[in-house]
Amino acid sequence: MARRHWDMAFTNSAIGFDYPASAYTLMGLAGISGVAAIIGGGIFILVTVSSVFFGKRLESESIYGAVPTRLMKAEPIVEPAGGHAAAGKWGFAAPGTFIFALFFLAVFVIYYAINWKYLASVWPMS
Amino acid sequence: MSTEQFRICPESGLQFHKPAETLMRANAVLAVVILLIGGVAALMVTLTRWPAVHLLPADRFYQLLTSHGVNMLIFWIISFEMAVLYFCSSTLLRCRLATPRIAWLGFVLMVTGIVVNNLAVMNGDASVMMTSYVPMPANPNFYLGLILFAVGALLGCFVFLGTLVIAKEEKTYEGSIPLVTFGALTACIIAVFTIASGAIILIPTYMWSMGWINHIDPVMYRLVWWALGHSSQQINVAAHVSVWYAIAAIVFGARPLSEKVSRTAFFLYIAFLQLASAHHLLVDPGISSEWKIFNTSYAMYLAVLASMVHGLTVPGSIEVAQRAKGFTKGLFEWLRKAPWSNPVLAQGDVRGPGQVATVSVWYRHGGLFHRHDGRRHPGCGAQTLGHGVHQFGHRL
Repeated sequence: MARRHWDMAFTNSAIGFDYPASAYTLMGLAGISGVAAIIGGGIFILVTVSSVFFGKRLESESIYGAVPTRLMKAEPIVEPAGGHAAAGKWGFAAPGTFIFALFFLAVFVIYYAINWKYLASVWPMS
Repeated sequence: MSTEQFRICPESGLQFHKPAETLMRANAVLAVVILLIGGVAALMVTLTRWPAVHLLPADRFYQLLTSHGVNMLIFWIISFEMAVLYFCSSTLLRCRLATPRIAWLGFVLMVTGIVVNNLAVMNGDASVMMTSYVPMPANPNFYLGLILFAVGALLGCFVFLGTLVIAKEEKTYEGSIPLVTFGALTACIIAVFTIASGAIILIPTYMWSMGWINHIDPVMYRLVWWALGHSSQQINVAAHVSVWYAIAAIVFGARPLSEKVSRTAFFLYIAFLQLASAHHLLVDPGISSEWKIFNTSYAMYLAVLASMVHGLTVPGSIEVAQRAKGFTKGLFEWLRKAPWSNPVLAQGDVRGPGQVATVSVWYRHGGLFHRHDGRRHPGCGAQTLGHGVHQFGHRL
């Protein structure tokens, strides 16, 4: 699909091209998804801007004139008994994250394979 | 240093330098206004590309596509970036902002550039899309606006770097700069490269549009332009990854699994991410295959590696912090019991659009719209930050 073209049907073009019907379905889905994303962005702007002007008041206040303090090095990390690995599983400090990483790796491999498969189909090597 | 100019947010413990705080507000507000303009254009573009709707005629479509691209991918990102840079230097390092007047000059130049560029696009004779590939001509003001904006943003980057120097000179922090500031420095370095590249190609293009020079080589234009077009997104990448680390610290009290690894990953961005701009030129004739293959595979993978490191260490640090609090049941209790009602978490750590996360942490953890007249403090919303706030008392 031409990424920026105004008309995917190329109406009245000197050189025509027909996309398969599935392309129209997918672009329809893209349109619906795009509008949903824009509504989300609009809500974000609305919420933040209205929070600024009409948000619930916080009771605390501060005035200029404070003496800034120095940023000190962090305290040593307090580890749970037995170390982080003991709080995790199978010797991993963050086993859930590791599972996520493996899942995303699998998705990545699948997409990669599909992409190369499609590329190979339009790019004959014989 | 004058204490007149500082206040400490009672909710978050963050320390704000008055001129820096005002500049953060101005830049962030500018950014959100641009986001709105770019968002409206996005709606029009989407409704046109949706075949069943096909809303706009061709000329209007390309006009709004141009507006959308420039506003979203250059003006919104970089404007917000300026607010992030001032925050990550002055506020996180607890020092005064360097040369606030020059920062304001930069802001004025940026606003002027945005207005000049947008007027050119609205005029209808600059519908060349964000890329503005030569020899497609645009109204000279299109390029002039971008150049003014770039100069203004460059001033902002230098103010950030100057503030780092002040913090070092005045010894406002111990040891090395915090990880979040380190990430912002990465963003700043990429920004300087990006903006300089933009100036290098757009200044001659402006001269060409004025008729002062008669030829711009299209291949050279595209090569140098993408050092702007691609890298402007990478400023955002570095900045929002920094904000992820900030959110992990603020919301969960998380500490990086390994600062060395995270900092090395940021360095990989500096070294390799810009080379990946070559992928925009993959099908361009006139550029060698060797150049394309090196830049879009070996070099780009190292930049991708950096993102994968951050993608692993940010949730990993959150998991470790949650497990330390006792959420150790099964593999995912730490995630189920995360404070999902906190929009900062929802927008930041669930990999929402990075810039949105950036804005979110901004509004939430104080400073931007904190009114110190005691009337309303919507920005100083550290009540939503809960237990993680004290982290700012140490370091990020």
